Amino acid sequence: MGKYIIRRLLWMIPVILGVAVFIFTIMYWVPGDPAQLILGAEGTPETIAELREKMGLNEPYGVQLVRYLKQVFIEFNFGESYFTRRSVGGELIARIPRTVALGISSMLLTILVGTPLGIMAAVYQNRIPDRICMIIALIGVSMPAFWMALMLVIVFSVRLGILPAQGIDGVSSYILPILSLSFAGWGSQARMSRSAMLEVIRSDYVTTASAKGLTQREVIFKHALPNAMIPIITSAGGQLAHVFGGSAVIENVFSIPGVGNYMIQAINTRDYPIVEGSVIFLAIVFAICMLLVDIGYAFADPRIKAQYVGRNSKRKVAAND
Amino acid sequence: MKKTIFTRTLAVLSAVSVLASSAGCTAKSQTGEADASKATAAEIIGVSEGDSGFKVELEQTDDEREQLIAAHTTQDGRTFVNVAVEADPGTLSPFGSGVGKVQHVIRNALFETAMVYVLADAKLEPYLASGYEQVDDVTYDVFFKDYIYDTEGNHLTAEDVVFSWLCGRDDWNSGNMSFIEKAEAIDTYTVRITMKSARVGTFEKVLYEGWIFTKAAYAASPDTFITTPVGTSQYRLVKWETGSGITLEKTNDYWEKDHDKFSLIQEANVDVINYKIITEEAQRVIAMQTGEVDMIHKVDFTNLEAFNNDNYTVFSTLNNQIMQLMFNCSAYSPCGDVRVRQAICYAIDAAGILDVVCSGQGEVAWATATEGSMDAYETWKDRDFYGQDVEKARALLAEAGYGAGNPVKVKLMYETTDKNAPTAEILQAYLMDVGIEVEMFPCEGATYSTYKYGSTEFDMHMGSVGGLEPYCITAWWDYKGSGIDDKGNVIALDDAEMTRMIEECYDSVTHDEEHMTATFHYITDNAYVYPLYRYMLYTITSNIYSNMNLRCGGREIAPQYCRYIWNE
Repeated sequence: MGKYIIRRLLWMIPVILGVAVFIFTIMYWVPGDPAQLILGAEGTPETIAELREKMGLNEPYGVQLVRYLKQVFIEFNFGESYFTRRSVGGELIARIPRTVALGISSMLLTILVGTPLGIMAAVYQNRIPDRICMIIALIGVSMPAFWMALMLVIVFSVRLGILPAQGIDGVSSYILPILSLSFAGWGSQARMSRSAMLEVIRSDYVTTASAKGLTQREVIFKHALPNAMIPIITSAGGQLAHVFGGSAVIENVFSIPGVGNYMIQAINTRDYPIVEGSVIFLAIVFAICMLLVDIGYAFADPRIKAQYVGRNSKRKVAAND
Repeated sequence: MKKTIFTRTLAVLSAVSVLASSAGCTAKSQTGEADASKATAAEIIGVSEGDSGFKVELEQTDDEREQLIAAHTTQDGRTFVNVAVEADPGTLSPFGSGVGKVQHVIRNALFETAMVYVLADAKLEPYLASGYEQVDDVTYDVFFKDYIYDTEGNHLTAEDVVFSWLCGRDDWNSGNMSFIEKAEAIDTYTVRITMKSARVGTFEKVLYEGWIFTKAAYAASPDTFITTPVGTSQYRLVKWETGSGITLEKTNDYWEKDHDKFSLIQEANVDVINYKIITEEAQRVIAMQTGEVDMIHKVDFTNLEAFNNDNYTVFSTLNNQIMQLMFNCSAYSPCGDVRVRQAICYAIDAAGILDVVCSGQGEVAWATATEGSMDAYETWKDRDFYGQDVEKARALLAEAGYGAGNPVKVKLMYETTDKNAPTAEILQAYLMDVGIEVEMFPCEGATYSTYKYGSTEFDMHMGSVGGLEPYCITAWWDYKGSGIDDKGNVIALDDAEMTRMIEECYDSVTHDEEHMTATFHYITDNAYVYPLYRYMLYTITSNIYSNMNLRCGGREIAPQYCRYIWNE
């Protein structure tokens, strides 16, 4: 298992490298000249050209790419913002905890609410609990996150005055953003969980377990759920993309100074180092989360774990021989 | 059967709820006109240009007043105010641009300049400098006061001024400071500055936009003032949580001890200013409603209804920037023909656009200039400036060889903002009426800023121009050049006569009414650009404000020198 994790970690390197090349290339080709944006209306062709030279933007694509990759992967330096001259790495370190807190909390809430909703819907298929759960799920996937955010603000901040509308003054400031971000995920997580459970519930071994006289609780949690976990874990992993992608919008709505907010501003101003640094960071986060999902598979499904244990055992036997 | 009916009913209900939520999002804009007029009648006070104050007649009992003051006083007796800003400044360095205008707002509170430009009076007033003297066409002596200290107690001399200005010039985002050729201290408190050319407005910009600081404070800063600014103003930075908020506190050791010598912008009427960074306008409105902030700025008129009560005051200021249509005047575009450009101008009713886009809250523009410009003349308003005349527009198009069987097709490029998009749609409708087919090309800000210098990307483009300059010739600079290859030209114009006229206007010797008027008429007669309108900016405050002051033609807040109920 340890070797499997190490191998996956090593595979992350070319993935992150690929993402870095991809985002650099996109930013290279996208219209918009950062030198012109920095100088604004005062920029003349001569001053713009001079600034582009200073910023190294006149060099060929290959030269710029190699310089950037060397800077990021060898020197571990994301560079400085074109506009503010502040270290991109320093800013990301300050902002990462907020985005991660928002993202992880939203994902956990999605799993903790969506999965039981789906299980309940499957167990009580075609009955009232199933209908109610699916209505909630449908509302969740239909409502845009930013609209849900503003509705929650109107209800809880403006009308009731019990939660802050924006900012990061304390734990209570994160309640509405987490709810907004996770709400859409409840729907898809519930639907996936329901679908996975229904497939398992119809299996012969579950019928046998029921016939043996086990309680419904034992049947669901000891026999059905463990076998339904693989697609549920897969769905949870997919929620990560939604959560971290949607966090940019939610951070903007709630004025949370996270990575998403940082990146959106930088895209509008063509602040390449910030955009590239933020995307690479998000790629690292995704890669780690996908690794955790894969590890989760190994714990959820003994067959997958046995594969790795089996391989190791065979190697040990061969080595002893 | 039951299941089918239920499922279908569920689907219909879901669709209705999605539609209802979409309608909810747009309802505000549909009722915007009624909202604005209601708010306009009830609460809006003051229509002003520039840096002048609006006195507020607050009807408060003594108890209410005391409660408000107590709510805005810290435990150690310092008054504070909370102000919403739309973005984190990114940097508080005195050079270059941070992100948006917020850097400028906070820099104004921390740093001072040699002089200050008062838009309302269209003149420069003394600040750190007591005055200046022109030595020759490009050289000036600037005289500084001898008792200026920064917030760290460092004494400011001419050497510090030279250092500040040359740092600004040598920064890679030197902006207006790039016009400095040389600066030297000729005595302890006098700086001789030589400009690169006699271009109008460049010396004045150094005076009112060249932030000044001491060499000692700059050397002591670990990051060249990016997060550790030290200026000579009454305020210092005490806290900055990136993306969340910035706090400035008044020092009690300002260098100017004689209050009678204060200019308006030296006032410091509150001890602590908390700038709360709230990126979304809807959230700023909510923060104002919940009392989290005491001032919000640049509010759209559709949001005014919520403040139509005695707890708030709404100030309106005419935006100094002009929404303007600019043409591609090269041979690559149908707009290269002056008759086509004039036809487009005659097809448009700018007042109609203002009525629809801004509910009439604003003013039709009459030139690429405003009353605040030192070189715009009242007589310019007298000329006939392309009032809507559909028949004339059709006649001009026919003369240019276009008609029903051969319509003009143009591409309109604009940055997608809440004002530009509806303006473009209305323009499209007006032009369709005279037989001009308009292809829309909306793009985001950075793309627009780049493409507007490229003649192949548009036949006409639309954006906000001018506003903060003391001279309107500064905005006309963008019309000179050699056209397609000259990236400094936003109308792809290759007109040697235009270039000659603009360069003459830029020369301080020939920058006079005769040359300016001739240039204005030339631009207008050739319809190189078509100014559309200026819209209202709204500022909303709680009842702690007894006098509102705004900067830069109403485009920037200045909470430090507003007056509050505790100042009365």
